[in-house]
Amino acid sequence: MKVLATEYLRVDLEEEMWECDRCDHVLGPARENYKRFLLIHDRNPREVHHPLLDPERYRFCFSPDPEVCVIYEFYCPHCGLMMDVEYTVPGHAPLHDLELDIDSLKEKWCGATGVENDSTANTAAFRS
Amino acid sequence: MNTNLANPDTADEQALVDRFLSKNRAFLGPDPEIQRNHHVAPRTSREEEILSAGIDSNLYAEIRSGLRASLDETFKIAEMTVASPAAQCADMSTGYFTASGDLSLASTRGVAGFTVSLHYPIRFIRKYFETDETVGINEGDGFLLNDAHYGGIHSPDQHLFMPIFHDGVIVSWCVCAMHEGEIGARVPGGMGPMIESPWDEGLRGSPIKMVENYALKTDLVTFMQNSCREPQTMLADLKARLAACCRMERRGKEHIARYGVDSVVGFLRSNVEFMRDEGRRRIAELPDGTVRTQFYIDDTMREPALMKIMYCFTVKGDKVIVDLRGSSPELFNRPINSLLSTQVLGVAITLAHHIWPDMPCAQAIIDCFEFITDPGTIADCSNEVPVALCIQPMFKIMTAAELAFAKLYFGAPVKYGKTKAGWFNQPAAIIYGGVTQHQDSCGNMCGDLNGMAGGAKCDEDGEHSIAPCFGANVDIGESEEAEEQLPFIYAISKRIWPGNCGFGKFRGGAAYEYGLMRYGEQPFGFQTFTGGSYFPSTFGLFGGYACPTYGTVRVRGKNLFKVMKETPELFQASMASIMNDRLIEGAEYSSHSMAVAFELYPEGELFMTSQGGGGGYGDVLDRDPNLVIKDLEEGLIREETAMDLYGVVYDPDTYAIDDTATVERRKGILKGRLAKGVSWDEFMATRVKPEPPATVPFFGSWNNSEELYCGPFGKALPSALPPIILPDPKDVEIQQLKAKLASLEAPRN
Ligand SMILES: [Zn+2]
Repeated sequence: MKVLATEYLRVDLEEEMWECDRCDHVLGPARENYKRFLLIHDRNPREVHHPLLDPERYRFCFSPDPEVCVIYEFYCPHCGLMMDVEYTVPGHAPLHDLELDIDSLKEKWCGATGVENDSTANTAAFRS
Repeated sequence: MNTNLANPDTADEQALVDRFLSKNRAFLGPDPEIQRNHHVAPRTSREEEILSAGIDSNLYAEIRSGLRASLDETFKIAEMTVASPAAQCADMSTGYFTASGDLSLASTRGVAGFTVSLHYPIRFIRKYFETDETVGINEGDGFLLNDAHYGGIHSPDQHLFMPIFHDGVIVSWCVCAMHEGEIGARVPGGMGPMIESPWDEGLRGSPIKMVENYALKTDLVTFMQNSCREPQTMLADLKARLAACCRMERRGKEHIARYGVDSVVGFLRSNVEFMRDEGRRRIAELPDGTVRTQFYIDDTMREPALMKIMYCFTVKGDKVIVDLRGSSPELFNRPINSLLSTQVLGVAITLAHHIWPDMPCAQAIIDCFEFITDPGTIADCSNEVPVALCIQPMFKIMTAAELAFAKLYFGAPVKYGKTKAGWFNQPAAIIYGGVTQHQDSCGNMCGDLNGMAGGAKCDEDGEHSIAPCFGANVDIGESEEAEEQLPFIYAISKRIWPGNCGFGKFRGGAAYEYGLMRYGEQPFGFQTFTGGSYFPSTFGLFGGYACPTYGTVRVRGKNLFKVMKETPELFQASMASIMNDRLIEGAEYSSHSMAVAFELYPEGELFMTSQGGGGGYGDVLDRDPNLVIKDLEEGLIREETAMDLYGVVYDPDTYAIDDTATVERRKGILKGRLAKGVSWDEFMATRVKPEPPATVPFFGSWNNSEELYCGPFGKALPSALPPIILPDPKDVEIQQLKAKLASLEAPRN
């Protein structure tokens, strides 16, 4: 059984592997930090958030200061889908943001009886 | 009758000593046993007796509806009679509590966050004042509270508590709580960058019996009025709160008369227990897991800094552990610290507003949460440091909880609300103070604080400047009303600017800029106390980007009313046009952070800033190109964003999309990602540094270091933090200028 853990990240509960929900690429063991299996790019925040005011003239131009802020973008190594972005201080290690207890996840989805729930039904209900 | 009228001066010595030892405490400061416990009180023996006999849920539902109607009625009474501008925008709440102080029911409208944290003062009043013969608790009493160390959000709020008696016994409490604003602090409005010690925070109202026999005590009211800049507002709002409490008490007694006291007491308690048990049940239903979020508060309010605030939410069985360790040490002389009770409150509000929108807002819903902190940090500060801007760290835990539960619920079999990205989380309001055109002294904040934008959802865009992160049912007020009461005009009012939202598959809501122009000759000025000028304050979700950063900008040295009259074509109601084109000759244009100290502004000078956008959801390349073009047409994004970030190819004149070229451009961007992205190992080896950057003082743990960085004071273990006393930035600048001067004056060899 496969369960969506985020918009783009899927867990195969039998194989205990992270997968890309877009291209089905198997990323790596689900008990490890999924970010270890993605490509990472450190991006200047000014490329994303263009200054509103002239940055040559004004220190506060309504765009993040690259001296203190960097965007880490995490891509699927197979299809390039951007699975997560993290705003952090330059030089800081990426944050282990999501650590699911795989045994508990199995139990909640398959229960003691092993009967599978429909993993997409509830998410779909909240998207309509 | 007071039975103890003897003058102690005439008592015998031994009696005097005995009495002194039994009655006198050096100081009834905030009680950690009360303040550090957010859990529901145990049942009283009376509650136990009533509830163990069985409950009639239909009867309780009827009582709930009746009391709810009373809360909405009294909310309206207070809202229509208050003078505080925030409360006029519904920054208030009314509520019924159990006799022990647990919130059972709050008004539908307003900011339930006020009533959520008021069990602390009720417990304090009962523990220390009930048997104190100089205070006591009697029918018709009202206690006023504003000091956040005894409960509530922050000290500019004022709350009135009234006990409800039956047969001489307290059976419930009712409360009218609101943001008052002006409390006689060092700066107008009770909040501001220049608050550097607890003694700058103005009124420190521990619970005070301000009302006896349903009437305000004139001597205490006069004292309160003398202690703040807005004596008329103070009186009007004390009366509004009292009127609300009197009506709530009357309605409570009517319910007791109609349904019997046991039914009302039983209902109040069972409602609390329902919320407690339902919260626990929902947590038990979730798969176990941990979600971590870290924020950086980028301004001490006097100088730039990077103050990490670390949030780790772990669901384990039917419990949630909220671990805040690793957060920045407290700052001794900056207002940015928060009490633990403030952090707890932030989680309760978020769960009720954003995660379980079908649940009532009360602290009971997070009874199964436990908090772990390093005491002496900005997430759990001591009583010796100022907390006037505790909403900064509080708003952070709100977004942290929002994102944590969005992630924990995404993979869960059962959900209670839509998955969405972060709601804007900064108090981006202009605070004003001075003398009005009506010759009244004043100091308060603009209702624009409530104009925060919503986060993007998993299936639709976020809403523009819709409501604050802490309350769904409040208002931003009318510009025209503010202009009638205060000596400024909204020269720019509620204008959307491009780029002010988190981009993504679904974008966050956008937020507006606004500019206040001083009108009239009287002394009057502005200040702000917002973070997020260097580092974005609010994050997106699952690949969605954050909101941008913000600033405050000014046009000074020129009366712009004169410019408007003589050369109207030179004045454009747009921050970007005004600042980038600089058409007004002789004016001084400058930009500053979102935390600027109070300054007076003469007539015709302009102070501008912006509300903040919501976080984005999902990969930008997943956004429907038609929605990207709609964003362009609506002025929400720039052309570069549409083309380079969203990868949409279109005719710049007609905005007609070239579908084939768009597919190709997006493929190209995906390829580019694969080319520039590096592996985890390479990233860790080449990008990650053992120390934080030296450019800006850093506070908190770095890469999970056990020691906390203390800015200019090195680093230390959480148990041995040094007092962090920062120099006045003006002194620092003077020293730098003196050194520069000395080097220029030095004889050249
Ligand atoms: Zn993929």
